[in-house]
Amino acid sequence: MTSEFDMALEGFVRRRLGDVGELRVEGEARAIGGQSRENWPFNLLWEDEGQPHRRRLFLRRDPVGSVLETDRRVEYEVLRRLHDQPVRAPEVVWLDADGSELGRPALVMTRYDGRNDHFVLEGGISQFDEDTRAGIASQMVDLMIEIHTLDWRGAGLDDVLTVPNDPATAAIDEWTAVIERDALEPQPVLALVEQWLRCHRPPPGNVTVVHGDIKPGNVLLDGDQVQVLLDWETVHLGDPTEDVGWVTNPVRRREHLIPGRWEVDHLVSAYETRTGRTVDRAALRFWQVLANYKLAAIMMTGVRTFCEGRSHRVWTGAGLLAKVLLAQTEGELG
Amino acid sequence: MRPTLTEQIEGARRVLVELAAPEVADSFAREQITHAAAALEHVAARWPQVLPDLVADIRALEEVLGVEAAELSEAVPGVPDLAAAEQYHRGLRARLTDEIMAADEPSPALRAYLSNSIERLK
Repeated sequence: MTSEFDMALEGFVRRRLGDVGELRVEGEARAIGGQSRENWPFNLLWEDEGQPHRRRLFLRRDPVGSVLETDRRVEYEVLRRLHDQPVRAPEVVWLDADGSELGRPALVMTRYDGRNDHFVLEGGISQFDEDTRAGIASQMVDLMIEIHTLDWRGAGLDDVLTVPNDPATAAIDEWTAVIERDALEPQPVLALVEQWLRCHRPPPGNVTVVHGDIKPGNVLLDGDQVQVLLDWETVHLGDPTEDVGWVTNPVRRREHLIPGRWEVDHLVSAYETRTGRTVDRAALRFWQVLANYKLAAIMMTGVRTFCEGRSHRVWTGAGLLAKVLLAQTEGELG
Repeated sequence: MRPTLTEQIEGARRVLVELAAPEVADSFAREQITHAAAALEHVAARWPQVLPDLVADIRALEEVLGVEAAELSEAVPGVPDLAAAEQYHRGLRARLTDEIMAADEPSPALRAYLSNSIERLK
């Protein structure tokens, strides 16, 4: 961390802790992994009434140019309401909603000890044996079900999230608006996909909490146990099949499946057995296409921020995504 | 002339990968260097084909849209001007996008064009 940032963070903390002694912020290097947020692990040490205190925290700050433009206040309010709910969500501590204190909007949350291993199911850094990896894959389904079975009205999430009348249309509209806002050139493939999505949208059904980005890359593992699910910035109320489509997206097989052992059918069947809810296969296909439409929209934002000099990530690979989307809407991929 | 443009780009990529990246402690910065090096590799492989592929795509687009082949502005006699060709191409792609949105179902010819175009313009 820069010393200027250290000072801003220390001031931010001091304003929240009040008159405490020996306050120290021990920063670490910016953590890798997030393309949409800057992640800074740090330790907080202070004394209060003669007692030493130490807290391990994690700061997530909006970058200058992000691939996702979401509201830190919504994420904070959702996580605050989820704290006493039966779901493995991180504890949020503080918020700088408008960035007036930390330069850009930021959240501070509790830092957990677990390890992040994005490609754990194909080996990753953990290199677990196949049985262990299958166990983690199964836990990822449990995690998804925890989210989908939350009593969101009881938790007060409808105070901060919109309750959609038609989740599929809402999702198409949301990501189409991002494409229209950020695309720097005409996008005929995405126009074709939008048209396909509007023709194939599933009817409205049960509304649940939808995380929007469930993946091993967003969880921390304690050994071979899934400890906590991070990165709630795309959380919303919608159709639970959206999350099932996200984790069965053919483009992201490496992250979610184990060839021959944990395929789409295994995952969906586990979800159906444990929830008692049948996943409509036509709806699943719609949400798998929507998953890549959403990724394409995110990429449009990434390309714009790069071309405008607001980010350093050089974006390539839009062609691959377009190719997959064309195949998906022709029924070649499921 | 040596080093050629391709060799210069490849040389810049090697500087990033072999000299800069190992000296960078910050993992985020190192990841961005990896992306930048991959982009340079892509550019080195693709740039000689950019203009011919763009012209080929323009002709394919004109065909799928049913418009007459336009005479492209030339940078020097016999060589189309890249910026002018890109601008004309953007106009055709915008027109195609409008046609897709107006139609009930995209035609097989249109899908075939899009599929080939992704390969040409990657």
